[in-house]
Amino acid sequence: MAAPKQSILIMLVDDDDGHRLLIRENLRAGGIVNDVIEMTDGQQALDYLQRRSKYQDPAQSPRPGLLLLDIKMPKVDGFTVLEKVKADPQLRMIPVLMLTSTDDQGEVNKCYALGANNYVVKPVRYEEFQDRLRAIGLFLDIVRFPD
Amino acid sequence: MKWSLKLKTLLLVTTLVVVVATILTVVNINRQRDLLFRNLERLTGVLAQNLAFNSEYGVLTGNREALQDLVDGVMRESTVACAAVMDRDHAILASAVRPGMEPFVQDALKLEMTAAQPLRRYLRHSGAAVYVVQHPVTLARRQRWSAEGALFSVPGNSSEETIGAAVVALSTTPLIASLEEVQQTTVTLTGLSVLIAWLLSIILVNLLTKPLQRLKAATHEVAAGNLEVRLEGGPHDEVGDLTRAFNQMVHEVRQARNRIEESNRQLEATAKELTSLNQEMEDLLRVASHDLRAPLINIQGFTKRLEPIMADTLRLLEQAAGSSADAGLRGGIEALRGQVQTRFAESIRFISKGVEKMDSLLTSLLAVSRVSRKADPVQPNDLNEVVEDVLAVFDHQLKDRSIEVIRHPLPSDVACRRNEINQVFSNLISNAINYMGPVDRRYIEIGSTERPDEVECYVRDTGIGIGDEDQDRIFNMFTRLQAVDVPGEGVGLAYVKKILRSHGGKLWVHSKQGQGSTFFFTLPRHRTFAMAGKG
Repeated sequence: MAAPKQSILIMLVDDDDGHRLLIRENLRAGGIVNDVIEMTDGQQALDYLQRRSKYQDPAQSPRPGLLLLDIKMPKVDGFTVLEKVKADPQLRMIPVLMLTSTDDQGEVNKCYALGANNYVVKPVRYEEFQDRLRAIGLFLDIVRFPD
Repeated sequence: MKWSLKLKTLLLVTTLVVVVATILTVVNINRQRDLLFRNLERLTGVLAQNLAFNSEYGVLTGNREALQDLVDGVMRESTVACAAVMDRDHAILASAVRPGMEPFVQDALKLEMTAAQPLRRYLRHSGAAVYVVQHPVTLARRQRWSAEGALFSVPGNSSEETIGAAVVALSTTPLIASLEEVQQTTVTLTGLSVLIAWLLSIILVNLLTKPLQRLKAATHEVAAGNLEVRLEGGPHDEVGDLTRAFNQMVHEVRQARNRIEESNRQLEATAKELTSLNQEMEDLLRVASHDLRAPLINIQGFTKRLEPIMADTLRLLEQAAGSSADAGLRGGIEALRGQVQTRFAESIRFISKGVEKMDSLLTSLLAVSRVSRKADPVQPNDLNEVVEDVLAVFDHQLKDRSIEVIRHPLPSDVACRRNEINQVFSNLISNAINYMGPVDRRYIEIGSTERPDEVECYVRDTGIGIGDEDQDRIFNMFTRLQAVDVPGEGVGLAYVKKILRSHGGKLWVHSKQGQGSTFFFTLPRHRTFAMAGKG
């Protein structure tokens, strides 16, 4: 596959260390080899995206091309991050995938209302999750299978 | 007609006064009239008698001048219309007529001459009337008689001879005039007394009805909701008693209202508290089931992560055991490999199964907490369609287990949330299938009863039935019939019950161990139950 596609940076925002590890591994297992930058809460993610505090250097903090956003997080939750991203003219073009722990229709509707591009329910059965992430890869056309 | 008490009393009193006054007036006028006429008659009689006695000598002697003097003397009495003295042959010896009374004279003089008794008669002529007395002039054969003596003689002696007649007529006109005057006075007095009676009765009736009107006004105020009304005083009679009873009644109504308001306030507070507790419980349920899933994801994810490593370990251990020359070491490796293969794999399997079970429970919990929070609108639904959808899902299972479905027509316009009622039928039919009994003819019967205010539906089965001791428990959360190995979380009926409660309906069961069960539920008709879902 073409090199520029590889440069798309994926930002994963989730306060659960285990979830982050599992998601990253599943992305790899799903054939997504892009760089993944991890944030542990919404505030940190916003600081990075809006280049505040320690993330002021654009060279050190490149813009991600995809946001994987958990909803329930301390300090600033996923909804707020989504809202701020979609309100920022420089960030609004970044596709956002919400990671929810249930398929609560109210939550899903809220995600779409705030401008999320898609959502993924974190499943307990992992085969399912891998399928979903594979679909994301296809959706973004950022998959690169190992040579 | 609706007449006020005041008007009725007024009319009664006034009518009584008028009737009494009229009777009194009529009696009085009649008495007056009789008295006046009797006086007139007596006066005429006396005048005629006197004229007759005093004329005796004149008639006897034919002295017309003397007779004329007597007649003129009679005429001095102002009410005399005419007077005359006649001889035996109706020849007028002396006469006098007041102007205008001439017609009466003609009639009076034509009267038949009587022997001894005076003739008395009323003569009427064109509206006016006179009373005429014709007194015979008699020649008394007295023992001692003289012209002087005759003036003082008294009538009634025996053996008399009629020699003429004295006629005196008195006009009734002045009498009638005076009668009219009396009548006038009486009518005026009567009118005056009626007026006074009217005024008096107004005052009386006001005294009587004023407290009643105050009572009426106060009653209206009470009816309008003002319970602070209190009537002061009141007379010491029945109306006063009524006023006091009214005050007492208002006092008691006020106390009752205060008690009701107080208990309403308490009820409202309790309802509020319950609503908020319920809300809290639902929130807790939602948050808990939500948050409990996060660690489950980790447990499952990381357990799965171990699987390839376990496979690698097993392969390596096998290789190591095969390539080891040391029998003791080989034995140790083989033993370890066996342990990994059994214990490790078993542990992973149990962990996974446990996690999946927990996940399923949490999903059910979440579903219960979401009842009536969903955006499923309340609208008229055809229950036949709902049942059709549900049966389509279970079609395969029904055929597999040779269960017959008996369907009766259901109402086609029940206001409900379609998805939730679908869940109700789905759970009940699923239970009926899962708990189907070992009988020859297996069936599920679905039907309904229509009532004015609700629809009652039932799902009957030929299942294993529910013992008395379990019938209350089955509607509780996480309760399952122990004896049976059937998949499920034990949330189904609790969920169904919650859905029905949020619709304002009920759920209950009729069942006997080994004889099948019938689950009944109701859905209200023509009612908004948007509030019920929150309570």
